[in-house]
Amino acid sequence: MSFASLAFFLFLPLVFCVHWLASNRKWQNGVLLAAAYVFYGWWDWRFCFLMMASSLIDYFAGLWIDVETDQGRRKKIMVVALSGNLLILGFFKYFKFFVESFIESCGNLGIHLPAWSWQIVLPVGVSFYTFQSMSYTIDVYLGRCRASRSVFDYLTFVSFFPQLLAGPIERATALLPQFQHIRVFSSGAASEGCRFIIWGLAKKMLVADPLAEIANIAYGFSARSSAAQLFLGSICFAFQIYCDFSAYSDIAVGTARLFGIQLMRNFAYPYFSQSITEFWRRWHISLSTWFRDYIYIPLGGNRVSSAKQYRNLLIVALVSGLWHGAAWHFIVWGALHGIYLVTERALMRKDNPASRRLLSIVDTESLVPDLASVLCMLRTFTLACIGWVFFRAQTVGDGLNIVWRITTAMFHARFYADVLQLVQSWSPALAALGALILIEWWNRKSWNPFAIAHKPFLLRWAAYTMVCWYLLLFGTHQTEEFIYFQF
Amino acid sequence: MKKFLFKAAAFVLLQLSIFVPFWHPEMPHDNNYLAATIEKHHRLQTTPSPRLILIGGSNLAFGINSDSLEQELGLPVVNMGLTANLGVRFMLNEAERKIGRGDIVILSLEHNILADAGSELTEAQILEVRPASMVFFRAAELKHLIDHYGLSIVGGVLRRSLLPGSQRELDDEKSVYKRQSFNPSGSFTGHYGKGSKRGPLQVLSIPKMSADIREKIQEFARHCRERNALCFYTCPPYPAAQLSRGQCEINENLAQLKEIPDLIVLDSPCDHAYPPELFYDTCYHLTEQGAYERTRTLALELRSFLNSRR
Repeated sequence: MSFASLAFFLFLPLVFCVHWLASNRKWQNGVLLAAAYVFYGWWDWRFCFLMMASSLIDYFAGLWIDVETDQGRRKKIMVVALSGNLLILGFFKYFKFFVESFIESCGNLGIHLPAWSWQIVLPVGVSFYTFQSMSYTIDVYLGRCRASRSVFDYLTFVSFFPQLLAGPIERATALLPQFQHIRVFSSGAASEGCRFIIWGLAKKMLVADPLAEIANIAYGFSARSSAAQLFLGSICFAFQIYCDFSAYSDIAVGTARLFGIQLMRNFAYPYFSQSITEFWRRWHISLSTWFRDYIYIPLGGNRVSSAKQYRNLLIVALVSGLWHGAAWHFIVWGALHGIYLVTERALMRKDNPASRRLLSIVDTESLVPDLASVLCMLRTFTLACIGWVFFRAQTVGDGLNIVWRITTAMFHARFYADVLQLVQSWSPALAALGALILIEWWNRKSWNPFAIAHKPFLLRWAAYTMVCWYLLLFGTHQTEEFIYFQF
Repeated sequence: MKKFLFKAAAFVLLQLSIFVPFWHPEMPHDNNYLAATIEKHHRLQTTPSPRLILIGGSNLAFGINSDSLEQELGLPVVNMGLTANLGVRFMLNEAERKIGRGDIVILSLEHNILADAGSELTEAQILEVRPASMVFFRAAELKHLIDHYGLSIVGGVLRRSLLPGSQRELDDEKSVYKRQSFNPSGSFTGHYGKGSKRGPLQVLSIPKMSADIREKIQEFARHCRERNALCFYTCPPYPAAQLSRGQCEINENLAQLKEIPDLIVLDSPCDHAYPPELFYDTCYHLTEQGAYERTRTLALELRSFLNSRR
């Protein structure tokens, strides 16, 4: 079930009412658990068994690790549990890719193997819940949290439907206790949740989906698209993926608040970043902190030599690329970000005042940023866009070709005239994007730009009514699936 | 909790109070081609039996002159033909529950729609103009439509009510594809007097009939018999020159239809093969002259069959 669907708008109020009618915490968790499996099974009920299997591996591993005193055995249990999770993930997400790559490599060496013909369907959200479940086992092993005794509490934690399909990837230390204690309804939190949902839907339906049309046209037939189309399409894709994914996170956070659950922040205006390092602190925060805590720090983090730090950064970036999909263009995207991060780390030492500015969050004092900040933001955005070209392209070759065509076309005046013409023809979608950037810049100090709880009642309701009607009348022409569902 | 629920309910009521004054189930301001389904259903509901009900895609809308047919047979005509994109199952379901004693039901299904379901986009659009038509879909189809087009349907209903003319479909100014182009009995007359567009007629590939659709037609024909109605099949019009290209599949499909016990096949594809100048824009859409000829042929076939039964 997608958030931007009619089914969800019928499902959510029903689950909300039944949840709060439940007399105690156990029943409330039961309602959430049942709702999660209905929500997940809405696509294909068979995948519910996969989610259950993945969850149970970690549940039993957690219990065992918790009672086991021998450190060596604790480690073995953790390794077995993680292997089980990675096996599930590997089979559904990467098996085909590795087999096809192997066959292709053999073909290049003159050994011709029969072509791969299996069709493995990728279960929606598998990377998200597997990572959440794995982090639980690691945290129990590291003693950061105790194992859950109740299987229902644990299953509810892994399958909590608002963040099940595309995160935020929560940690057991933050989310699990919320299912283990009584939840009390808060009208303020629920209202705030509704505002998050409205804002998320507006970003998705009024900005991301119209931008998707521009990006899809440019990238759908990239060989036939003009350089100007590819240029505009790439910028639009950069904003499409941001609006789409951050919208999902906003709706997830808002929906969770309706049930008295607090989820972590996943996006903090990443395109206002002044460096790629800062970008990764603001983009998909739950995943980047997951990689930081479970890969980067165990590899030595910042406590090792510079060379090893660079190696660690590159490993994390490559794993991040591979996490997004089993394809070389995702790996190139990750590698590119790895190179950006290593270069920044090498060039900017923290003791240098200029670099300190680049590592800090965007200037929050003035409405209009200074020129240096604007240039830094533009540079970061350009680097991110180059990465997105490879992310969106079908193959690495396509990505290289697109970057080459745009770069060479930029030396011709005609290119800019074509871009202007395209901007005019797509003006409604781009105007919506412009409005979003302004609103986000204006409200960059707060998590939710639509946080208007302090405004007078009439103004608030007028704003809600206006946004809802704008959404219904202009945002429903064509609703696209959330991009991150495929990961 | 109560306070929050009260506020939420008040907000929903406020939005409804904005919408309700603009809402009219017949969408009088919507001039979209598909909105003609509203008048077609209205006529189906209000015309008493016995009557002649035409079921099929746009071949019937463009290719039958209901007024002439009514005069020839002395029975009121309800032409349900709208678009083949709705699929056979939907078209049959639309009329199934309304069939009454003594009705004559005529099926004419485009050759290319006998294998699969309709177009999802058209199905979603028909729900925008007439949400009540949701009952004509199977539960799984409706779930699929709600999952993929639910918000778009709700938005479409609102746009058609509050911002008529904002839809980006077939209703551009020059096009004849408009709701107004249908006559009261459901025949499309907007292209009358315009002759043929004379472009090359695009012919779609013709598949073999699926078991699912054959079963549905059989069930429908049985239902007609149970209601003491007669169910006929007449071939859709087709360009004579193109008939040979899909001959094998057309004949095989027709042979299957002839095996259905309660369905009377009136003619063969050759009886409704016409020269290209009698087609308006597609290989199923006849011009005014073409519609006149096809109507006359159909009336003769029907009269001859009914006379032979007496």
